[in-house]
Amino acid sequence: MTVLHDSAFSTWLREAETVWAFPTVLTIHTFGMMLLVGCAWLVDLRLLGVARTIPIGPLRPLFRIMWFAFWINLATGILLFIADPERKATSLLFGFKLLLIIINLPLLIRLERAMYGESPEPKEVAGRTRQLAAASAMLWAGTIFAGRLLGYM
Amino acid sequence: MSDLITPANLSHLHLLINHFPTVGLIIAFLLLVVSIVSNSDAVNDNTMKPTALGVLFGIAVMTLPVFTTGLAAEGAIEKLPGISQPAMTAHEDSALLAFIVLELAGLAAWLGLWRWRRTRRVPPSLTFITFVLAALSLGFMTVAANIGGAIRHPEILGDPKAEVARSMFSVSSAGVAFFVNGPGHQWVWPALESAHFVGMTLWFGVLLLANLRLMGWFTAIPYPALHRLLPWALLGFGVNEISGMMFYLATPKGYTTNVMFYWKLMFLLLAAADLLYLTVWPAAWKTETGTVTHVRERAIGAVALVSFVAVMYCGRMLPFLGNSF
Repeated sequence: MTVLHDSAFSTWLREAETVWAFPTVLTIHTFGMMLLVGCAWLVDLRLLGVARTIPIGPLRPLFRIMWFAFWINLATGILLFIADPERKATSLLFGFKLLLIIINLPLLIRLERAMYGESPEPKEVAGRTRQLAAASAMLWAGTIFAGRLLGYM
Repeated sequence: MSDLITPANLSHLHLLINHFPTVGLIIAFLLLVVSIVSNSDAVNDNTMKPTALGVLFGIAVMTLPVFTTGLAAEGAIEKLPGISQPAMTAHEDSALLAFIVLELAGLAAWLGLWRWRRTRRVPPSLTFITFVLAALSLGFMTVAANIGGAIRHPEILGDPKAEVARSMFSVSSAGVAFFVNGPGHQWVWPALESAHFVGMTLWFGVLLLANLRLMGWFTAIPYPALHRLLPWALLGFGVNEISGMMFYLATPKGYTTNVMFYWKLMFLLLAAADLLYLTVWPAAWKTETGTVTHVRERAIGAVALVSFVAVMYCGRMLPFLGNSF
């Protein structure tokens, strides 16, 4: 970690006197967050009974947007880690945030499968799918909180 | 734009746009009263009531830059001779109360509009609540405006000190600042930041899907179904307005002297206009399953989405661009 911390790239990301280093990476990470979680919450709200007249079938492209945003945030997240590896690697809060994401990704996959696995469109959202949606929505909220609080550790 | 952010210009801006929550609010209130009195059809509301509610919502949103340029104006004139500091503090505190009640009136007006779009009728209870809140905020705004005038013209008030002491219609902005920034309250700012990100995400999700539908994607979804999601966008707006105002009141100079903050406010006004558009726009409401939309809706959607991302960009860049914090 110390080697990574002292590398030229890490130092540039962290200390360069330009908005194109750390500030831009952080802003793209924020953009990816609102895209990923914004779409995820839309799906979760619908499954939890909000706006029931929205047909579930046509919402499927939202999952493509979510995965697109996820890869953006994995990439920018790695860059943010490189900028500050020593503190992040030893931070409980950072570990907690990673844990929440690692639990949530399989939920996202299972959610898509539950919604689009069987044809034709189910009339009722199964109770189990609703539980998945509620858990996933709360995990995303926890991830946002943990990520935002990382800036203050 | 940064060379326009001078204290003198900001004072001038405050004096220009303060007519929205004062004169503008009187007009909106009168419109609302006339629409209530003149409404003879018990089934459908005439178009005057939604117009009045829309104007009221717009004024509630416009009052955000009015309030925030106020503290910039204070920074510009507080050292000038003949300025009454107690009047300035009393103006700020009474304006804060008027602002809070006006935002609540704007919220009630928006809910009324949202219901009207679906049922062609504003529920009487919501009309009543909006009327009461608008009347209260008009009263508080009058107190705030009156004290505000006395900052430069103490002769307006017979005995400025007594007058100011008597204005119990105020809340303490110093109290808010203490809550956010005071000793032992280190957890408050980070917690509010987290809530601010949650609110932003909620608003953005709804705005994204609704605008994409009107721009010609997701055509299998009828727009009226998406209309049901709009209160969640408003919830995000509300969470962020409260948390944002708390940041602002805690460290006003970090914002009033930063050019990014004014860009953010401008884009925020556009995003709020988009929320009104998504709520009442007739062509949007008529967008049924498979309906392809006009180039006008595509342009509006593009502007709205770019504006919202710009709000996020300007906010996120506050500590890095300009001179904040």
